Amino acid sequence: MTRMGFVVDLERCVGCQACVIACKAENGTPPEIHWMRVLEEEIGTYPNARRSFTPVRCNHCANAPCVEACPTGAVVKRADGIVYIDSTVCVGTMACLTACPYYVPVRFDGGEGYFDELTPYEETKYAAFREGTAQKCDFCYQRVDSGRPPACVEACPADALGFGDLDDPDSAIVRQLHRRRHFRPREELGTDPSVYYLVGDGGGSVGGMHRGGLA
Amino acid sequence: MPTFVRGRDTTEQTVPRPGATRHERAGADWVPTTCRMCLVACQVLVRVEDGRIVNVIGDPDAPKNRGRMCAKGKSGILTHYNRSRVTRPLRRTNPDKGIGIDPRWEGISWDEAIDTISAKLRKVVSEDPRRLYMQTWADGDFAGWIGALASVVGTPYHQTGISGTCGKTIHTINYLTAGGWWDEVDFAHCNYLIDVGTQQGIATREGFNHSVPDCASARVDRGMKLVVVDPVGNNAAAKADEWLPIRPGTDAAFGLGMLNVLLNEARIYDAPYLQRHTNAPYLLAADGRYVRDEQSGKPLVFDVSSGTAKAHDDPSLAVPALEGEFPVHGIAAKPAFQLLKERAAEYPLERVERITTIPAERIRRIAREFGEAAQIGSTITIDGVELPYRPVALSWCRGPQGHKHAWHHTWALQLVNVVVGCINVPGGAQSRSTAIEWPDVTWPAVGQDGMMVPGGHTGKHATAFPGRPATRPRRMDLFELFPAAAHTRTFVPEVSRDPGRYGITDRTEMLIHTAGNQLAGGWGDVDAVADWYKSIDLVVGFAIEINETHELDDIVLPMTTYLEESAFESQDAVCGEGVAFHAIQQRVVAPPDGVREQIDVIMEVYERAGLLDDVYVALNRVLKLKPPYLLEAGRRYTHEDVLDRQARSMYGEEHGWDWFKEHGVLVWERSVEARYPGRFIKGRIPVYMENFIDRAQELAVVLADMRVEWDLSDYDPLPEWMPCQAYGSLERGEIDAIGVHYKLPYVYGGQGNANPWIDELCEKLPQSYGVLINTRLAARLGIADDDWVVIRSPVRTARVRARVTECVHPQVIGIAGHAGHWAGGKARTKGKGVNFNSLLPYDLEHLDLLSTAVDMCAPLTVRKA
Repeated sequence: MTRMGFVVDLERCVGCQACVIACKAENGTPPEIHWMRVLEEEIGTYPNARRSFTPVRCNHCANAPCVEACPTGAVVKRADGIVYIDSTVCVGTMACLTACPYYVPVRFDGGEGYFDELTPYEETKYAAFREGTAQKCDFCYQRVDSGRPPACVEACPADALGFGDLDDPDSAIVRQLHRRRHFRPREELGTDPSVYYLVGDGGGSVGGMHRGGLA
Repeated sequence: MPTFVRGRDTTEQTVPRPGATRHERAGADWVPTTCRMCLVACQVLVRVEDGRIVNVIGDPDAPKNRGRMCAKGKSGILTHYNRSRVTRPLRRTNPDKGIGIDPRWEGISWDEAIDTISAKLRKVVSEDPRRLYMQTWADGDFAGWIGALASVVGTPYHQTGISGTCGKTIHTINYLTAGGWWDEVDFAHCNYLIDVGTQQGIATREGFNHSVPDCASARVDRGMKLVVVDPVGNNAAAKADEWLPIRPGTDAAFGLGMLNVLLNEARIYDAPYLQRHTNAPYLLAADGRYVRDEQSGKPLVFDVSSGTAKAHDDPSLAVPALEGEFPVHGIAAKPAFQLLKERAAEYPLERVERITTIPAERIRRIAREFGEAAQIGSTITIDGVELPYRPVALSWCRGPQGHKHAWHHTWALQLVNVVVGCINVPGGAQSRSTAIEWPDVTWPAVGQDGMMVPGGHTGKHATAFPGRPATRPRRMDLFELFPAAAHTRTFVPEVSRDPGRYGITDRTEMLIHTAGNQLAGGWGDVDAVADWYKSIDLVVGFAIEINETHELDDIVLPMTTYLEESAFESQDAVCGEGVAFHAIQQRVVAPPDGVREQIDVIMEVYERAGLLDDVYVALNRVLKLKPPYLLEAGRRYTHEDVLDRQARSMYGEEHGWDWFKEHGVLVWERSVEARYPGRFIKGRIPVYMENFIDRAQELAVVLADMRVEWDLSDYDPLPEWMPCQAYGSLERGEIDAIGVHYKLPYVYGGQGNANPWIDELCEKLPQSYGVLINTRLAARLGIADDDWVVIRSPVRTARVRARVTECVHPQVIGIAGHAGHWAGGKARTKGKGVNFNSLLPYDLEHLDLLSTAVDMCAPLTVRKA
């Protein structure tokens, strides 16, 4: 079996937002819509305070609430686990939006793009969108099918993003999961997400000096 | 001929990227070119469909970024398709010129624009060419086309940087201590990195898309320790093992504290390196000057082994003394290193803590860890060559070099690298382009007093050693009064306030500038700077969109975006990497009707001004053309033609412009010696700036003659911490905080904020448009998160949103990005954030009298609005 998934290395991520804009450049998402986001939070108290960066996108759950909720079958789960929305089938019930515990799907409400008129780039990209339908990260499945990585993974300057077959014991990401501590987002909800976040072991171990303060 | 590297094995990439070579790429229409969304200039592949740009990805063949791309680069698509783009020449019709005043542009024809410009150019050149001033910045070849005019007509005024801190000490100090242009870290081997006022490896700096993954691997896979010393808990601090919040303007004290621990307490330093490769053993007399051999004039060192003084290059010199006092020529002479130790001893850590607010014990521990991690004396073998192994680096840049005493902050910090011997060796602080092997060969050489003289492109960058004896100035930037500075553009508006005070009669009648926001980003108080622009008869600017600088122009010329423009550029390398390379920029799509490539425009301007033939002759040198590809007077060339000549001149018949257009980048192997040149450099580097004594004395004589009084204390051969005006105001409670500017990775480089994708990010992320105020300071002032506040500096008042946070020093207001726009072409970001530079007092008290850096400590009071 194939099960496509992502890893996100929270130690490597530097919060540069390259993945966010790479996704936007690849897919031409309209204003206010980001299929990929990097959340920023502050933790700790001065001077032991820091910001944290968490890249989030669709988790392509094996037990996806959006797939189950969609009445028209527009939300499709492929055999390899990738979940995408077919906008030619979607009629805009937004059941997926309501069902998703991660707040991932968004509705495209039309509009003129980022300027007063669509740029040639936006004209090309918006041809794929239908007003009133839902949209979300589609794992860049067209790229993946032609042997290329998703746009976010390809762009990431920190090499913090990885993807691959979670069911293949020899795949790079499975080998990473064996080596590193990790968690999946809100696993307790039973969604069986296909995104794994790698966390730190406490870097900076040169000469036995371990990371002080926050984990 | 070197070994060329064709294509790269995709298994080298952590992430498989589309195709190893040009021909395996998915889809035929991926055009290789260079991104210009910031100064890093990564190589990209641009996807074109039906004449439209539909995607941009990193070029996996390019060593600079190896297929990776950042948010700024990706957003370039909408900068290219910017709907507020200037698409035809404009002339102002409003004679009243100033900040916030509508120029009332009218469209004119190219003919009229070029006629006006060339006529003025002809006039100025024939009457007094020194009335011509040119401003360029990171403009690929175009800077060379403009700059060629300087030598042709005889004007010294070619300004090649914008920011008031750009290159002010990073280049001078890199040339001085490392022979190269800027610093990068050898992340392949580094185990301990201290970032001081920079976000090297995390969020900023040249080679960003290269250094970030290598730094991540060093941190996460190898356990490299990252310490960040910064007033702001920025992206680098977020990834650091330790963040040391520091009060702004105190980096010299931090550096001297580190030196005190290393040299005096722990006694960890690379003695053999200091003895042989620096002027540490050079003997000094009581007046601070070298003790010299009476016959040869060479500086002397004391050989402990023979008990006698010898010339520094005496082959019998066995053990040069680093410490002590020795009788030589009847005087008590001390090695320079002894004086450095004594200066460092004036900075006990309790004192450093009072100045910096960093706890003494933390500094002590960090300095010891750094010293131990340096593994002084160890070696590593790379490609069969044994090299010193010093896996530590202290990287600094924007923060410490943006100060009234920029030289001293950064000199103190760089000396930490020098004393552990980690410069240009595996694991340590690298310098870019120290050694070039092909096609030109440039290596540092031995100069005066046995000191290193950098090779390469210093022809256009004056050096701090030996420096230039001061003379009465003729130049509006007072270049003659700055013996150790490479460029002094920061002084131009100051001098133009009262040129007579300095005896300057030069004035500017015509200014040509390329796209770049010189007004908003180049100095401080923008009102003071605008006055200079207003005094110029004809200001001509090239523009993508109208920014704050253009609103003071008389004529604005549209220009091609970087996706429409070609440039040959110059060769490049990433520090420590086994390859060097040359990447080009090429036209991906044609510009809209009415828009012409800058170089075509300037050729026509020169032709109508009767200068083109002479410019061709100058360009032969500037563009490094060789026979049979030289440009000849009387002939006319297209830009493509010139590009082909550039390519063939540099790389031979096999690598003409067509080859480069197809492949994008030429890559060849470098030797280990060129990658890690540290111990192969023959000349010594300074730990003591002995030449400053003479340069200061010469300068004092000239200033006295001019009846100008300047405080020349900065010409101290040893580093010292000196407070700036903001520091004093803060101590006396006259201000609430010092405002500092810091960088965000998605706007760094200045191309960002008005781009709609970037602006949208800035709206959604908490840090970007708000100013950071520490929770404690906010509580004291009754300010809550997201409140509107009024921040007031001596020159400007601004209304901004407060971002109450734990991630900033309690005496600091943190201001990021390039916001606070007011120009017509920046409507999207009008009224958002604040233009940081406009807060800065701009006068002699806020300019470094050694490096000419602008003091970037903004003295602020803060109130709830």
